[in-house]
Amino acid sequence: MDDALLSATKFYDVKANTPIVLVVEVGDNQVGGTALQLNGSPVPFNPIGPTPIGAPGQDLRRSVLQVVTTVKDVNPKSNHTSVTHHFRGGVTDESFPFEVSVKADKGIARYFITYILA
Amino acid sequence: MAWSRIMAISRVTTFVLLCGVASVVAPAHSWAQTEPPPVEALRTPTAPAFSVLGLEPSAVERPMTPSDAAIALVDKFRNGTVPKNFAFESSPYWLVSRPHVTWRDDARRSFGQSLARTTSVSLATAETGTAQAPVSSLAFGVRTLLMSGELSQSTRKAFEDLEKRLAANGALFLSMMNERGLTTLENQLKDCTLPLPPAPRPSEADRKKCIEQYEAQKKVLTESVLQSDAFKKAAAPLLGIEIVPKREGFLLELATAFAWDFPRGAWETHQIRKRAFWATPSYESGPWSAVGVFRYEDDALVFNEDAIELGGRAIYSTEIYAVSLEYVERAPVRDNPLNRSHRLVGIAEYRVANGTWFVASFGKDRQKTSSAESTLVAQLGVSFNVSKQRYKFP
Repeated sequence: MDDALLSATKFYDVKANTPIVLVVEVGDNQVGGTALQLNGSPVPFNPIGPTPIGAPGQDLRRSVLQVVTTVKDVNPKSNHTSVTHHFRGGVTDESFPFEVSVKADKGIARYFITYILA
Repeated sequence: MAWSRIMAISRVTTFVLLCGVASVVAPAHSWAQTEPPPVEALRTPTAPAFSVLGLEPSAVERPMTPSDAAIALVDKFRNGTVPKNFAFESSPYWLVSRPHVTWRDDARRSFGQSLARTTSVSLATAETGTAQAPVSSLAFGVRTLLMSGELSQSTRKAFEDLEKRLAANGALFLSMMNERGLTTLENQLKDCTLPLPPAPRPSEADRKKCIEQYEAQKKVLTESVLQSDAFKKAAAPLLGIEIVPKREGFLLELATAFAWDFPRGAWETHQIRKRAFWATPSYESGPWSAVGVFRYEDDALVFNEDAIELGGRAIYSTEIYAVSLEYVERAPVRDNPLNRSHRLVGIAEYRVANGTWFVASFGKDRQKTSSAESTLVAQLGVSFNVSKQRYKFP
């Protein structure tokens, strides 16, 4: 059903016993919704600010975070879609930009990104 | 409850009375589908270049990247002659990806942001001569919003609802991936890239191989979920969602266009054909809206027809009915024999079914020829509006 699918796997270095936060930025004036899963369990997502990943004191090393951002093209002037994942609280703050275009107006792009928290 | 019924009956009665008045004075020939109101005809066109040539092209080149735009233009103009029946429209700002422009950031725009994000250029060519005297015409236009108002509350809510539905769809996708063994893949990925001591830490090349293997297996699982009937059924409503972003507050839209004639299609023979300028300020808040129009057209081919037209329309609209008053003045420039004249018309509309409206107009039309007097407007008709936006605002 998706017009465009982007799949990738990335590493993000975390500190021992320290949770991290994630901010998802959906660009190109498009609308997107995000679902998160940490080691197979859903994580509630905050669409307008940072989302904490892990409980206070939790050691996130050797965890796998799945981030699925589904973007609908609502911008009549562009078929570009872009998603940037901003991580804070790890060894360094890092941003992971992704972009893909849908084939036609009102199309759907799915970003399925796996993060290995190292 | 009783009061709202009385109000509803009162609205219908008022509308029927208005229709009755209009029908008594309406000439027989005006019992046709209502023509678009002149204020609408004077608004800033979407593609000014097409407008000055009077074109409604069926195929328009709308490039999505700078290279697409360059290819489209170079391909058409490289022969040194004016290309035939070419239509091109582009918003330069959106030719490249804008990863940091979110819809929440774009809800309000500064002057510079509005200028950058709404400017579009249009280019068109047409054959306007005859077989004996061929003429190619080329037009270039620019359109922009200097003031963009802000995203309406209804659009913000629609976008927030869409975000929730897209997130729910993503959650369903992940749960179906889990059912098909995603968590097993995750464990294999961890063991491969981050093995527990005393196993040695894998090299970068080995970790890359682990990721490639994982991505290949992930892709197979993803395809099986996306192609499953259960997921397709759940995701189908998302494809049908259509949200027309609506902006409220003060908006100011400007456009200009120039057209040239090229007898025999040669660049050297060019002469100006027409130039035009439009300005459309508008304000919308709740059920109230107002739009002003200003248009100046200088047509080199039509003698003594140049005029400035300006006016406006105030509208009160609900889901069921709308009333509006519009005024347009036409001021001739240079030696135009037409007198300064105006059009003042009241319009009442009532929705009889989804997308179908009864329309009654009453008022005074402007002088259309030098020998004619101003005429009466008294029309009853039906208009069809399938768009979600009853009145178009930039």
